[in-house]
Amino acid sequence: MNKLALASLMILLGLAVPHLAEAVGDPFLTTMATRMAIMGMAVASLGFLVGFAGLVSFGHAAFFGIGAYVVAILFKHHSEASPIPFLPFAWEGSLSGMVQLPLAFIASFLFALLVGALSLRTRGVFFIMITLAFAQMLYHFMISLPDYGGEDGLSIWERSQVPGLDLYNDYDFYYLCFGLLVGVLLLLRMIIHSSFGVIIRAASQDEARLATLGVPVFRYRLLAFALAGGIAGLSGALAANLYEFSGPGLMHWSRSGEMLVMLILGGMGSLFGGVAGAIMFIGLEEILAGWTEHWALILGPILIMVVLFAHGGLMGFFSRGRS
Amino acid sequence: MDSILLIEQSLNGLQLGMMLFLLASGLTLTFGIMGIINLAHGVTYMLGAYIAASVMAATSSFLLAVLAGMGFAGLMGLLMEFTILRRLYERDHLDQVLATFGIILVANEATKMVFGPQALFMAPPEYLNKSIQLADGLQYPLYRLVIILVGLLVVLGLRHLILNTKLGMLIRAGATHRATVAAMGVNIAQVFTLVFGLGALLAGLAGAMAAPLLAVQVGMGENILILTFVVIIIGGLGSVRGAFAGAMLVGLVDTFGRAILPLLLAAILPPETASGLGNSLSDIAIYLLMAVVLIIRPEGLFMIKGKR
Amino acid sequence: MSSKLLEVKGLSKAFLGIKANDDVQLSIHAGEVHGLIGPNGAGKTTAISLLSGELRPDSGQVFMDGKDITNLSAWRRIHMGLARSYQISRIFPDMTLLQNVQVSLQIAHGHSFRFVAPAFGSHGDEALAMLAKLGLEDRAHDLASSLAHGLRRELELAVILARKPRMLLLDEPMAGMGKTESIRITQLLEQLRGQVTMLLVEHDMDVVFQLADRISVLVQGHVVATGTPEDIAKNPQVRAAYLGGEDHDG
Repeated sequence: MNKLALASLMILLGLAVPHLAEAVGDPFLTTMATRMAIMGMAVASLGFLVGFAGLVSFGHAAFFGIGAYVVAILFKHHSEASPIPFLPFAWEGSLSGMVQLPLAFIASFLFALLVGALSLRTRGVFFIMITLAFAQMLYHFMISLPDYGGEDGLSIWERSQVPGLDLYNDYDFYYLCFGLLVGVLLLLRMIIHSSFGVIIRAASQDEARLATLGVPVFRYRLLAFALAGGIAGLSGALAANLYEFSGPGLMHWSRSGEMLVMLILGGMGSLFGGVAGAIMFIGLEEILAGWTEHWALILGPILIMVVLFAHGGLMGFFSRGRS
Repeated sequence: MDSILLIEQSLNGLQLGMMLFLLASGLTLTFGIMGIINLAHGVTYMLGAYIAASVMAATSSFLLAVLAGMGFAGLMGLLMEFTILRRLYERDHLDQVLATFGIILVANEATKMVFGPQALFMAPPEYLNKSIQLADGLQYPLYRLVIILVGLLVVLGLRHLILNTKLGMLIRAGATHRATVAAMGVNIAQVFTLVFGLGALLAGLAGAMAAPLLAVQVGMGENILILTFVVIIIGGLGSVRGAFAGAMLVGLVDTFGRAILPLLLAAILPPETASGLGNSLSDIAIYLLMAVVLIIRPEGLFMIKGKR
Repeated sequence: MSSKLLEVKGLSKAFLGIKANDDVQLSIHAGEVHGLIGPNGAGKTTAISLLSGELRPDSGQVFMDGKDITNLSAWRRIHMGLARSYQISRIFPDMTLLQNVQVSLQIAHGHSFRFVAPAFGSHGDEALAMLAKLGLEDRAHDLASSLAHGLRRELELAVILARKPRMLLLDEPMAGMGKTESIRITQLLEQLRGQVTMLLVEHDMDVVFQLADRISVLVQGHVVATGTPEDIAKNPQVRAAYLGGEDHDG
């Protein structure tokens, strides 16, 4: 089966999810698929960084969290009709998805630009740790803001208003997330194959060579890092809508670790690996949690087995099986 | 800040630093020599605390409790190395992250099943559970002083081990010239296992010593693990001396941050905001410290030369 | 004589207090092949990295076309036409040979900040022609990581030459090469003579004396002599440095 056929099949399957859920009489499956699509988007953006740009970020949840907080804060000020204090102009937030979602992307993009500018001079394990440090700083910073819920976070009473869609309808919400996921994957695919993407990939293979060929590697990496951050922010904004909540817990380092785990589980060689990992991880969690409260006792060994015996993750396993 | 408070906070910082050093020495050696990122290092700390608390409850013997916590943690470390981690030495850091994350899941869940979801509490032994007068107006808990003392003993012991013994020579050589050591006909796998066991033992000791100071609960290992990583990154990977410097630095910065920041903020903000903000900002301080160290010296303060 | 393309004045660099380059003076004329020889540890690779901009000198200056480029970063220097090869060839291992050259051409054409069009759709013919020049066209679609050591060096040269440099810094191009491979590279460099100025660091004295128009000798981070191959062969200081320094009071 060639790649195009496989992709088409996946898209058809994705489109059919709510109907399949209804057919088996379990509408909750649609919500689970929504979660998978949201996390899949975040993990795919991480996969773009790790698998293609060679940058292992251990702070990706921070960008995800910023996206969620953007939605929560815009909602809060809108519902209280109070101006947002840290803006230089008077604005009382918004409920519109057409404002919230792009702003979530932009805010995370800008924060990632800052973190990247400071972090990208380090390499390897030091990069892993400095991204972790910035994420933890943000985590503690959000806890220190009592106006925005502090440790408890912010609840969201009203989901984003998106023209033509009702996010309180599970189908509409799912199709929004699924549509955005497909859009993000296509965008990332296009970028990976573009001139910019080639430079990013070359930089992960031999940075010194690229520099002495005349490329200011840092700028390219910075843009890639910010782009991945922005996408994670978008996915965080969707997650805030789904949970109707945003809190510091979304940014905790264990959430960043979980994203890496999903990515490795799915495999890093392809963009879809991140999505596959998210689907597997969330699916396993749900199935095992329905089965026993001690699901971690089963998930843990599965992770270890994947590392020891299925090198390259799920996608690697399949592509090896094919060749 | 008056001098009494200054001394008190310095001792607190020293005590936290010693605790972090017990954890960091093992972590930095396993990273420096075997190149492995072991997220499960905090697990041995947690197990040390749980076993110590249980043994203390059963026997009321503090010494026995600490020895049992250490021993069990060491054994679990050996078991982890033998079954899983030794297969990961040549692997990518990402694989190590995934596998040790898996170990955390299992260990935390198993601990919850065995000991129950509630936190355990452990009282320090009667003879250590008092304050002593260090100076005029300065009462300091004896138990915390004992922790500092134990930490110092471990520092001296490790120093002796690394500088004066054959194993120490192999550890030093292994960190920089692994191939040479292997070429000398030394069974490097055995050295690795030993070092790993030692690291787990010390983590267990830290857990057992920490048990009377805090709630013994699942997740305690991960919280301190991140701090420990901060320590070894600041100190430079693979350097025990760096781990010591990093641990002291983090211990003092964290303690003084907590003591001073709320006072400073209180001068400019309303009191309740100031204390909340001060606490969170002092949580930020150590991460800020690490970020600044890495931005100025991208490979840590005491990087062993020639090592990635 | 011809004009100076690259001039080095008093370049010094120390690592942990040990002087790798100590007051190095060099001037390289446009069009010449300039050999740089010296015993192991003389600081030849350090000198190359200082010239390429990957290392910054502690003191001294580098001029190209009379312009001070001492503080220019590595990626900017190649835009002036200054390229380097490495002792262990550096290429992009997970790309095909063709793609390796295509990346270089893409950079040469200055359009790497583009996000839409597939990159490997362009410069294919030009890249293939470059590979053909080095006799690598048969393997154009193999992964670069599959190449043996000698062919990697040739690919590296193809990648660099695609940038159309005016000056090449060659760090031991014959290192680890077999006899036939070594001859091929020598022929290739011979073909480039006149089109590209070269600074050739090399241990194989036969190659250096065959290719170089002039030779400089680096001993303990210091240039002790510069001259034609004949001059250098006769120079007593150089002989002393190579044959052991007992009878030499430097």
